[in-house]
Amino acid sequence: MTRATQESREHESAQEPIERLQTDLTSWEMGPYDSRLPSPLKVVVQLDGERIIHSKIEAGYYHRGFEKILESLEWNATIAYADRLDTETGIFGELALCMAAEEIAELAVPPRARDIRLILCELGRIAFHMGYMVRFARTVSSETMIHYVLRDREKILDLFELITGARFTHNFLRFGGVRADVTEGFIERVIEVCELLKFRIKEYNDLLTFNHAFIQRTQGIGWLSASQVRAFGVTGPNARASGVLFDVRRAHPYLNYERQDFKIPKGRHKSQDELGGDAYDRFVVRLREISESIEILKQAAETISEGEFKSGKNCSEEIASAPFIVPLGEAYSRVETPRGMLGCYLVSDGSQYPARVQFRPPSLAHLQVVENLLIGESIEDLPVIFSSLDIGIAEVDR
Amino acid sequence: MNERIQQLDSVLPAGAILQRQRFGKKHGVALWVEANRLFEIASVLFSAPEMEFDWLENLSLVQMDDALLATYFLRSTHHHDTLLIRCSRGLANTTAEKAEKVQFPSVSEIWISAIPFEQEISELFGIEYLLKNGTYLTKGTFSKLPPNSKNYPMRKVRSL
Repeated sequence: MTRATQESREHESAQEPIERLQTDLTSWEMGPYDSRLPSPLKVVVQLDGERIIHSKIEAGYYHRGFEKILESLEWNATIAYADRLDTETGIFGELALCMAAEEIAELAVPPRARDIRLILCELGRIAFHMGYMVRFARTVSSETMIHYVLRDREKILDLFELITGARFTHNFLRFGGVRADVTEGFIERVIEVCELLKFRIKEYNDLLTFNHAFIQRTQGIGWLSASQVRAFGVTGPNARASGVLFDVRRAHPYLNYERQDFKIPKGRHKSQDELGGDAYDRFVVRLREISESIEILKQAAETISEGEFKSGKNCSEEIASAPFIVPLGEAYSRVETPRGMLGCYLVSDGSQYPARVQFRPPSLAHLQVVENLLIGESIEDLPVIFSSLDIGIAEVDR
Repeated sequence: MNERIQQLDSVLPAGAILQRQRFGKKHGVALWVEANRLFEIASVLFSAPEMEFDWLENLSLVQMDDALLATYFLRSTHHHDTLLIRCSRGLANTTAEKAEKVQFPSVSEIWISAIPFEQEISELFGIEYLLKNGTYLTKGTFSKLPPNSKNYPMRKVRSL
């Protein structure tokens, strides 16, 4: 027997006990309230060692009867409540509802109101993506990043407060326009914040995007293939990180997006000849989307239209005395929220209450696909996968 | 898109489309189909090379007086066109006390993205989604109501 063969046999015999070692399958339950999950959500995983071999997710703990409550509110009151679809992306719920109602009522929105809505949406997108970065940084224990990003997000929340009076749940859109014109100095401050954020993105890149520990923690996990994206109807940055470049702002332009020059960021790579994206891609795409939103904001702020900020039929002063009624009809609107495509199917029977308001939130598809993404992953990567997908339970449960 | 709609008659089985109706102000045409033939028609729309509507974007249900109306918002990831199909079922009784379950064919075996919508609608409107093998779609991730809940909260009910 040669020395090499002997060494090889010794190595094999040393490996054998480990390979033969049988471990019992264990079952873990997490949630519904767990800091590792976008609560409230229950996750049951079956583990072989540290490897997830089966997962089951239970949602519904946050069901509020949202769509039913909307049917009991007068038309004008529905806008404030649509904010609550998901408070962090509140302006998009308002917008989807207003667009559908305006389509039925054939209500023209003045160009200035469309510009103001667009500015609010892009500010909302940036603020939301910054919130995402904070949640992601918390998951990978990057304490410094949390403080830096929250510090900068305050500037955007200040802008919201300046124009709407609220930092979240703005209740600012109205059927046919917006509640008020931009306040003095608002546009200048938007441009200032854009300049500041362009500088800050370099800092974020240094702290996380190019950080060796962050890359090790996020690359190669939670692989979402382009075929899964299409099958499950995943939209937004999660889809674009996997190479599927669907963006409602381009596919079905609304507000004044057709006038804006912006790119649609996508993920970096293919793996095993298949197009897709991992947790790292999903983070990077959102960071790039902040850059694109800054460009859109600058263009919109510099070229904001003159004129009315609401159509004559429905001004805020009239609300108390003359309730707004959407005529008989139905419509379906789509908007691109920071999480993906939000659809709103609206039916009016001509009464003072909506007959049906149904939202198609992007997180439905994200929650459906996550059961598949977890299979084969290590249990320690579960919180990172959830954070990278950024599932909004409020909009799923409604 | 108009060309694709014109092709529908040659692709779908005879008499499949009951009516073509305008939907909203922007979305063009909605095709009314018989609820019993929904699965057959959906299969063709999904797989026929001229159609390739491979993404069920949304599924919505609304109660109109004594009927439940389902709207399927389809989209293709290949040619990016959209299409609506609709079907309805009558309600024999619209009182809360006598609300009966209604059956619709499930399209979740064609479009997997239908599962969240069908699970939600099933509970909230009292719908039984019939699968191809004769069984019903079960509760799952997207179920919302507690197990002992009664009635269907999204139905518009009249008291006796």
